[in-house]
Amino acid sequence: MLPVAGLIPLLLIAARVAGSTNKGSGRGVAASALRGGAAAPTLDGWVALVNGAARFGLCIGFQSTLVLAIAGDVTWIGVGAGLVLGAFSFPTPASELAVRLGLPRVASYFTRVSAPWWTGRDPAGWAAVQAARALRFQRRPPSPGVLDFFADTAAFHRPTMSAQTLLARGLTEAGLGNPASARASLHALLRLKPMVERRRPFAIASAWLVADAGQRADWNELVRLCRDNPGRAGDLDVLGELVASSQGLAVDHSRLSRWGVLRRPRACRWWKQAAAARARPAPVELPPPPQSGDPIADAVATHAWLLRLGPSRVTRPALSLHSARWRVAADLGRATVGRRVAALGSRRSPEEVLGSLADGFRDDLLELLRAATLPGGTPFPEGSPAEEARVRLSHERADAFLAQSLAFHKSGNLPNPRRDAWVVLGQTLVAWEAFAACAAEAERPGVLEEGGRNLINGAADLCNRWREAMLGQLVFDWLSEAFPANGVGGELLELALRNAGLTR
Amino acid sequence: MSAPRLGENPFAVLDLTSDATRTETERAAQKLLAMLAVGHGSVASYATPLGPRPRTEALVRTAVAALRDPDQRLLAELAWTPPAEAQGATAAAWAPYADVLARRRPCFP
Repeated sequence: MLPVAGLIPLLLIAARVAGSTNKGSGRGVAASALRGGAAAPTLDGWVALVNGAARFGLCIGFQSTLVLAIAGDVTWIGVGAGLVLGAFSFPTPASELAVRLGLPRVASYFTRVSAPWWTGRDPAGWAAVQAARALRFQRRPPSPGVLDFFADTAAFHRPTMSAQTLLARGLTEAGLGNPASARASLHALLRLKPMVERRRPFAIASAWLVADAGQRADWNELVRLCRDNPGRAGDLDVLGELVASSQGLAVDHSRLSRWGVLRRPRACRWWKQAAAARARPAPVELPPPPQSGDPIADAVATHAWLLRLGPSRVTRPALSLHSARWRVAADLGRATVGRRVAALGSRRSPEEVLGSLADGFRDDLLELLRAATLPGGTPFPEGSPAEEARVRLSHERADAFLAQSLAFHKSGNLPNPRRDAWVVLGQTLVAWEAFAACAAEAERPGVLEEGGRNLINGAADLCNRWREAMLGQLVFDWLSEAFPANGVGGELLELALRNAGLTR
Repeated sequence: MSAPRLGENPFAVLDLTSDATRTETERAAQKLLAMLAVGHGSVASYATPLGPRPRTEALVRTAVAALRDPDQRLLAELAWTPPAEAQGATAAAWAPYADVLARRRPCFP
């Protein structure tokens, strides 16, 4: 048998040498952040030691079993094969263990030395992902050393960012307590879907966004994310339909079968916990109020019904019914209002009173529509409170989108453009979609042309100055599809298509 | 001046219907203020078309002041609608999966 104990000091020295040579390489974890003290071995060194000792031990075990197998015991061959497999895949479970223990640096290191079948072509990216995941399991707020580690992580300083790096970026923001930035980064990642073949980053990003939507009790968003599901996670399919079913939304029964529910106990458990913590009982069915013959009372009752439906269940037909009943009230209710004006001695005209009532309705509907997710389409009847609320919301979202696109245009000047531009891009694309969802067809091209120009200029700047080819490709590909879908063509579309070709 | 929000309609705050007279509104306000002052639990909330809302002395005073102004009273009358019936839970929506969800582990993989 080989003297294993005697080899450990040699491994220790090798590990320390590895730790010291890693200092100036510029690749991987910065040595300054890993150093525990002047005389102590580096964390890199310790991790290399554990990794090396484990592999060495497993290889020795393999040699022993080989000897036994040659001696005649064939069953030992299986044990030996298992040990070899263990020797090569050892860092992967070690990395998972480090994540659970809340040790970002250790998790990152073990991932970098993991087998390529697990990390793919981007070990540095996955190392950053594992480190970011470990942040969530830390019991105390991250120390300044850990923050330095994330600032120095090599994956964030490469010429191009991969899907894994973007995922790590989002999870890091989440771990550091910035959920809005995390949401924006992960939304940007989901839009990379056509360009990356591996599903795992999308599955992790979708799971985070779904959990986030659940925490905010944003059930519409949760169901949308589960149905989109770019990572094709089976749990999300079932979860989305369970939530839709309980919230009174339309259920896609092809995704929700008894068999599916049985196969996905985790989704059911998650939803039961979320439902117990957050969900409020929603009405099973809420039919519109019947007409009573008093047009103003009918319009007010319909308004109350619409507000009771809430943002998750309000639909375009419901808003159309509100508009229709309001129109009847505005036409036929003048006489009733005139009588009450005279009886109470008010100095206002019936038209003014009805206008005030409409303003109140509009403000309520604006609040409702801000939280709702309605598909864009034909406007409501001219002059109705629903149409006024839609137009106001459209203007609000146009302003937000243009401001966001301008921020993206200038993102090349941010202190850390390679990192921060992705967050700004995610927020801009979300703002674009929010605007396009509520704007009428005729209102879209003007705003989207101006914002699209900012996006093109910003992406070109990031490509030229910061070599962010991947970000550029994402923006130009996305615009090449989004421009024609929203009625934008001509010079801008040509520019997007030409740049999309150049960045491939 | 815009109409009062449905959840803050003065008639709802005072537990009245829109045909209440001036005298009725004053009496209702005095009664509510007295009960709120001694911390009577039964008047701590009021019913609205959008569900129950907490009632405070300030809200009662604002409501009665609004009903003294003819313009505001007119808008409050027009924007008044009876409170909604309490809605049931989502038991019906869950019924098909209740037995499955009650089970901790699936009986087959």
